[in-house]
Amino acid sequence: VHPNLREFETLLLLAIGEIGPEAYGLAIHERLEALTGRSIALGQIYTGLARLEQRGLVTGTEGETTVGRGGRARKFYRLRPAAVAVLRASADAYARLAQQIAAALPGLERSR
Amino acid sequence: MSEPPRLAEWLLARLRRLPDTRYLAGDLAEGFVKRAATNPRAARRWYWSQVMRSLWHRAPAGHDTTAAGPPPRVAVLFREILSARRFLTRRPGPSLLTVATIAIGITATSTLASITYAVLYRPLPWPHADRLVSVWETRDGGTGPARAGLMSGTFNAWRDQASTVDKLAPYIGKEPRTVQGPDGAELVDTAEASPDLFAILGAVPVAGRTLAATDTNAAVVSEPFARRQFGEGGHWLGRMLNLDSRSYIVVGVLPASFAFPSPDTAVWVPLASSRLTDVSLLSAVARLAPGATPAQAAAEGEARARQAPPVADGIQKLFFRAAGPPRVHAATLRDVATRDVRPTLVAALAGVLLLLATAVVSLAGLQLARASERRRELAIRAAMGAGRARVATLLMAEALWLGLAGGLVALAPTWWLLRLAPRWLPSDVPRVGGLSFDVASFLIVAATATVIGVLVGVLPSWHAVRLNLSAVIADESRAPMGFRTGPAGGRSRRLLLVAETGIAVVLLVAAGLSGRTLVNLAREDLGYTPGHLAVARLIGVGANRSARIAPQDLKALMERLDHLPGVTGVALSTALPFQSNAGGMRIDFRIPAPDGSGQQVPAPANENSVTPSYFDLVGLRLITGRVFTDNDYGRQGLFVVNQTFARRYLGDRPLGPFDKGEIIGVVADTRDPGDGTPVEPQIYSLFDPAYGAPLQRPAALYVRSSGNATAVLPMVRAAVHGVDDRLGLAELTTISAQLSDMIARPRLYAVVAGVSAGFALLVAAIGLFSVLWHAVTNRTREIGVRTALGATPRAIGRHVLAEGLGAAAIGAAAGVGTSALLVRYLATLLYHVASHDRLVFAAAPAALLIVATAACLIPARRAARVDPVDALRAP
Repeated sequence: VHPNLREFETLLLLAIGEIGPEAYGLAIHERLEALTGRSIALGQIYTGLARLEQRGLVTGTEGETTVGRGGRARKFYRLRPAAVAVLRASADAYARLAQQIAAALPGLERSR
Repeated sequence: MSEPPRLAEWLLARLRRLPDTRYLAGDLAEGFVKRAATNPRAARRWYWSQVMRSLWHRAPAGHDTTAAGPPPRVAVLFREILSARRFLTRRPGPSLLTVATIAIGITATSTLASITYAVLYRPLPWPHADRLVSVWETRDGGTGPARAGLMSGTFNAWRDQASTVDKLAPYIGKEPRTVQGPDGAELVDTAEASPDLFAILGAVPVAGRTLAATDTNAAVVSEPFARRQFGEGGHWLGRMLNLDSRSYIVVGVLPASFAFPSPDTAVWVPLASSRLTDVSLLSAVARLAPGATPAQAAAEGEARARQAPPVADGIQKLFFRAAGPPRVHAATLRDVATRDVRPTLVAALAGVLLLLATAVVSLAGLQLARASERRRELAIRAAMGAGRARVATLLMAEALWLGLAGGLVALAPTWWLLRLAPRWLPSDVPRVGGLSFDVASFLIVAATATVIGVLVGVLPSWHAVRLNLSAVIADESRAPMGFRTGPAGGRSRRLLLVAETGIAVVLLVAAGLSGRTLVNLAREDLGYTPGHLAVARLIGVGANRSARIAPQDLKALMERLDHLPGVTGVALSTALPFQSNAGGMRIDFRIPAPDGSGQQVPAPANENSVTPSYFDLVGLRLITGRVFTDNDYGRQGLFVVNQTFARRYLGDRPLGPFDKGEIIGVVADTRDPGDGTPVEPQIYSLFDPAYGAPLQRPAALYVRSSGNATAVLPMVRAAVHGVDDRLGLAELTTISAQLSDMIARPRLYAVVAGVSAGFALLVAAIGLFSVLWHAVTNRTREIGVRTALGATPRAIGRHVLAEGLGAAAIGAAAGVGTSALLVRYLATLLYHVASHDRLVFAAAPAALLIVATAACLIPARRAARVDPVDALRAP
């Protein structure tokens, strides 16, 4: 798996978790753009969500039809228990990575 | 502006690879509205960029896309079209009939259209061919020159001051000359050409150059001729070529595509300078100046012709059959080549298209009848959300399937017919040599199939759109009760039936007349028996063209041929067959006057010198007296005459000697097939091989074989070559092949008329059947009521039958009337058949009525079997 994709999926999980029960496409999109600070295509969000659904990390349920969406419903995503475990593992990995970087930095700064 | 951009929305709906597009679209709409409140332009930009950037993402494999909403319309349509095929194969009978009819129609149309294109419209092989014109002159009152051309005076006057034409080139084409070929003497088609001819036609030699003004004994040859004459390898330039008695040096080779003036022209030699200085008639071709029309060129030519030095009336009459002020004509080469066949081809194509149109109408009626059988099914489909448009689409799809299937079936016969066309078309139809099934033909077939499919589908589809759903589902049979108020204007369809049957009768009459003509031609008593007879012209390369073939050569040849296996007889004659009656030279024969005064009176006749074996070989019937025998050699003045000679000049006088000779026998008249002109007096004199063959008169060699005449031709050729390699055979053929070629045109007419008539009958039958079937289906309830009120099944059936046959009878009467008016245009094509032949005029409507009865019987029987209880109770 491409590391970027894994990162993107982790971010998706994080966004859904942070938003809570009201997590749907557009909300996740806005959250992610805020988190990463760059513009993201909605298509990418939905393909990522579809992948997470397939892996059993999130579940999607169709909501009520809302005004202002051209008669189309929202699809709400919730984290499944497995997602929490994945997020925990990610957190550990990032922490280890952060530690390694911190350890390596003094030497790198000296060599300049 | 709170609506998202329409195009982007539409594009998004096509993104089948994205997961959950429905929610995605909703999110985009929501985001758009939110942004549009502050900045509509930025909102649109955002929407577009989101859609465009989403293009590249695709759902992971195995993702369930059911949540993606309904599939797009195109996919539905495709599925619908596929399912349409199912109905067609469920009831194969009518489908097969329709496909067969369409296939016949497409085959006829595309074959004829391909031929028409190839003959009339395919570009000529020369550059700027649309600016190439043939120019010729005539005199008022003349019936046309023997060979179209310009007088040398006109040419000289015009060439020096021409403004409408860039260049004007004289030539003399179709000059057969003998040449010593690898297989003995051959006749080749040559032309005398001025250097400008090659420039005008843009000739690009394969090797060497074209003719120059200073050439006198240079020759340019065609590539196929060079290969045959000098062999492969390309060492062709500088070779010697003896044409008749003159020697030429080959200076250039032209590709086979440079087929001017005729496709067979093999050698071009310089135009003799005397042709332009003497008074003579020259063929001429010109290239129009840019912007000039043929009419302008003709006007200019006419003005120049009047400035030309005057020509004696006698010479004018010789060339033009009239004397007087000259008229000059110009027409493009293509028009000149195709003017004889254009009207025929265009008329035939128009006829086929008319026939195809009636077929389409009939088939549309059949499809409508089938659809009306299923009206409940279709109405329920429509009501259950399929929509009328979808039902109409379904019906259109069915028709398209039928059209395409017909096109597919038609491919093979069209390919085959086009391949054979150069053989079955009369040999005088130009430009059919390269005819084959090409891309253009394929496109014609495909286009015709599609158009037919659409046209056949329009009628049922249109009815589906207008279908009254609730009426059909609630009570289909309460709708039309009147007799002629079917849903599709009964009157116009009745009129169509009359037209279809009428056309069928007209074509049946044409087929009958041309068929009888063909039978008359085939059965005609020619006065001889043509089977197993090969014939060729004996030619020789000698010091000059009038040289005789040496007597010893001729005798050796006769003996050699006599001993060939399979050859049962050999004869020589100075006349080739089929040159108006028995042919030969016109001579002023003189015989004693019948009154016994001893005076000589003229008895003009054609003379043909023959060897004794000729009569037996050709199968000429002896009427009285005897024919020549070998013992007659050496005796002067023996003659055999034909019946016409005997009747006209001898009356009832006995045969016998007169002062110049002796008439020893009378043989039957001979005639060419289809030649309606009266037989001319003919005398046969004795051809004595001991004197050799005079080559200025054709010496024809007749060889009878025990088996297939074509099979002995190579042996005959080899034997001739073996006697002397300066001898050769030209125009080698069999009498049967020549006869077959002579009746090629009538045979083609008969076949075309017959096939068209059969097709028209089929179309009329389909038309009758479907209209009646449709009517019976729509009136089941009415029929039930009638039966309940006491009508017998017989009466019901008779009623339906009468309705169909009524239309057919009116059509037949109209067809007979129309034929009676049209047959005079056929009169010139008929042979020994009156154009109002009673048998044909009675048989054509009879055949139609028999077929019509058969077509009407099925719906009539169905009507008779309607169960009144079922019909009335039906929902």
